[in-house]
Amino acid sequence: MHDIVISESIVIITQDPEHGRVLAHILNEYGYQPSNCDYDDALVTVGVVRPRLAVLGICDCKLGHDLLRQIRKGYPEVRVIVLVPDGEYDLGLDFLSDGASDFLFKPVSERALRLALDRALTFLDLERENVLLKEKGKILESSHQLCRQLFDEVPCYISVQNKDRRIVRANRQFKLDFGSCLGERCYEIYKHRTHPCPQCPVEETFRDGMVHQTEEVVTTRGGQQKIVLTLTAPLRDENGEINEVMELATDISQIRELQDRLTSLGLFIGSISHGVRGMLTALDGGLYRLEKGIQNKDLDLVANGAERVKLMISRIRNSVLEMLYYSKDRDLNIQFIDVRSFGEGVANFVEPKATKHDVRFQKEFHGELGRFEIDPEVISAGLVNILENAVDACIEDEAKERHVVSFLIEGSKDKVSFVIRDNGPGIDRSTQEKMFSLFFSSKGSKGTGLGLYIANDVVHQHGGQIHVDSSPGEGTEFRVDLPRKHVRLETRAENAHNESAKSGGNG
Amino acid sequence: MGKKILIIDDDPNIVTYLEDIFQDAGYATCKAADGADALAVVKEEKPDLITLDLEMPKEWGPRFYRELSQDDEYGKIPVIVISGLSGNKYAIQKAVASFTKPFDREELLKVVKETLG
Repeated sequence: MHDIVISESIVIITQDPEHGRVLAHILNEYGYQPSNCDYDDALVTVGVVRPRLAVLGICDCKLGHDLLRQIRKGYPEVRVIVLVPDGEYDLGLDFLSDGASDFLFKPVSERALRLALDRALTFLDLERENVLLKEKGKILESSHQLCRQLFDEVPCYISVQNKDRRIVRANRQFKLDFGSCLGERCYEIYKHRTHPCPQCPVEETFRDGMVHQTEEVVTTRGGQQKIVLTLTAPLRDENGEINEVMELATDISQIRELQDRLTSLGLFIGSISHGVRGMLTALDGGLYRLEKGIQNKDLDLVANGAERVKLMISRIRNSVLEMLYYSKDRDLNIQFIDVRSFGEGVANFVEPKATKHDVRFQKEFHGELGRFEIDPEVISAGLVNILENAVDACIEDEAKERHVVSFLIEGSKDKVSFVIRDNGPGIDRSTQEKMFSLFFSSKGSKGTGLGLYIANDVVHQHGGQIHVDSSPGEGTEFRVDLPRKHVRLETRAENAHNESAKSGGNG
Repeated sequence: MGKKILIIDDDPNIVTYLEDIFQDAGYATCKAADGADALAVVKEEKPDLITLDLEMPKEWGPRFYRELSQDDEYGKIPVIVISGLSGNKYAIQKAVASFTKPFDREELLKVVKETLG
C-alpha cells in the first residue's frame, strides 16, 4: 500500500451527503485530508483545494459525465475515481473513456477504494517522474548536441585513440583533411608511417596519465604538410582506468611560417655575414692577382685573378639573391623560353662540380621539349640547388663505389617535368617531411636551410609542385613539375593578408 | 733569409690572398688549414708571426692560441687575428692586432712590418 507521509488532499464529490461523510471518515483513517462537496460546488472546491485525487459518486449519469468532463478540462492533473451503481460495468467503462482514472462499484469496498487510490497515486508519481525524465532527456539531448557541435566545429583536429593506437572517434575537421580514418592507426593517417613515432605523446599519456605536448609535421590526404601543436589528455572509464586518449592538434603552420620569417631574418643575416665577409676577402685576393698580373703583363696571373673574381662574385651573388628573396617578396620575371637550352644551362652549372668529385653526370633530354613560361633566374637557382644536393649526397655516400646523378627533362602538352635522381644514401621519411621547412638542413654547418625552402617556394609560385621519392640506402628522386603556361598565383604577402582577412583579421 | 709568416685559415682562397701579399712584401709563408694542425706546423716551420682565423671547422682559433701560449719555446710568437667575426678583438686579448674581414691590405702590411721589424 502507498505510504502517505504528508497528508494528501482529496475531494469527495457526491449528491448523497451521508455517503460523502462515510467516505470522508474512511479516507481520513487512511491519512487523507478529505473535502466534501456536491455537484454544484465541485468545480469551485477542486479549484480551491487543488487535490491530486478526487472521488466522484454517480447518481445521475448525464450530470456525472458533464461534471467529469469539466473537471478534466479545467484540472487535467486531477485523477478522478468514479463510483458507479453495482454491476454497471458498461457505465464504468463509459466514464473511463471520458477520462476517469478508475471506477468502483457502489457500495464501495474499503479495500477496493484504498487500492484504487494507491494505484492513482502511483500513477501520479510515475507521471511526475516521467515528466522529470523527459525534461532531463531534453537537457541531455541538447548538451549532447552542443558537445557534438563543439567536437565537430572546433577549428582543430581531434581524435580519440585506444590502446592499440587506433582512432575510435574523430571530429569533422580531422575527417575532412585526413579522410575517414576510424579503425586506422594515428601514425598511418598523420605521418604515413608504418611504425609508431618515437616519443609518441599518446603513448606517454597512456603511461603516466598526464597531458603531453609536441609539435609535429603531418601530411593531409591531399599531400599538404601542416605544422601542428599536439596536446594529449587521458579519457578514463568508470573504474578510473585510462582506456582512451584524446589528441587535439592545432594547425600552427601559418603562425610558425610568419614567426620563422620574422624572427629568423636577423638570425639569417647574422649567419651569412661571416660567409660574406670571407667571400669579400677572397674577392680582394682575386682582384689583387688581377692587378698584379696587369702590372707585370703576366696573362696567366690575370686569367687566374679573373677566375677567382668570377667565382667569388657568383658566390656573393647567390648569397645576396637568397637574402633578397628571403627578406622580401619579389615579382616573378616571367619569360617564354626554350626548355632544352634552359636545361643545358642548368646542367652546365652543376656538371663541373660532379665531375670534380668523380660523380657521373647524366643528361637525358627526351624529344621535342618546346618552350615554357617561367622566371628562369629563380627556377634555375632552385634546380641547381636540388642538383647540387644530389651531388653532395653522392660525395658523402661511402657505401657505394660509383655514383651517378641523372638529370631528365620530360615534356608533355601542359607541363614540363625535371627529374633529378641520385644513387646516394637516400633520405628517411622524417627528413623528407622537414626538408622544405625554413632553416632545416641535413648538412650541418655547410647548409643554410634556405635552398630547398626557396626552391619549393618558387616552384609553388609558378603553380608547380615538387615530389620526392627516396629509399634509404638506394637513392633519391626529385620531380619538379612546372606548367607550360604561367598562371599568376598569390604572393606570400597577399596570401597571408587574405588568410588573415578570412579569419576575421585576428590571426 | 726573410722572416716567415704562418697563415692559419680554413678558406684556401683567403690563404692564397695572404700568401700573395706577404710573399710580394718579401716574407716567406707557410700555412695550416685548421687550428688542430697548426701547432705541428709551428714546430716544424718555426714562424716569426702567425695570422689566425677564429672560426674554423675542426678547432677554433682561441683554443689553438691557448695551447700555443703555454708552449715555452713558441708561446711568444706574435699573433694577428684575421676573422669574419665582428667581435674578434675580444677573443684573443694578447693579439698584436685584430682585423675584420674584408681587411685593409696596407694596414695589415703596416702592422706586420712593425711587428717583424
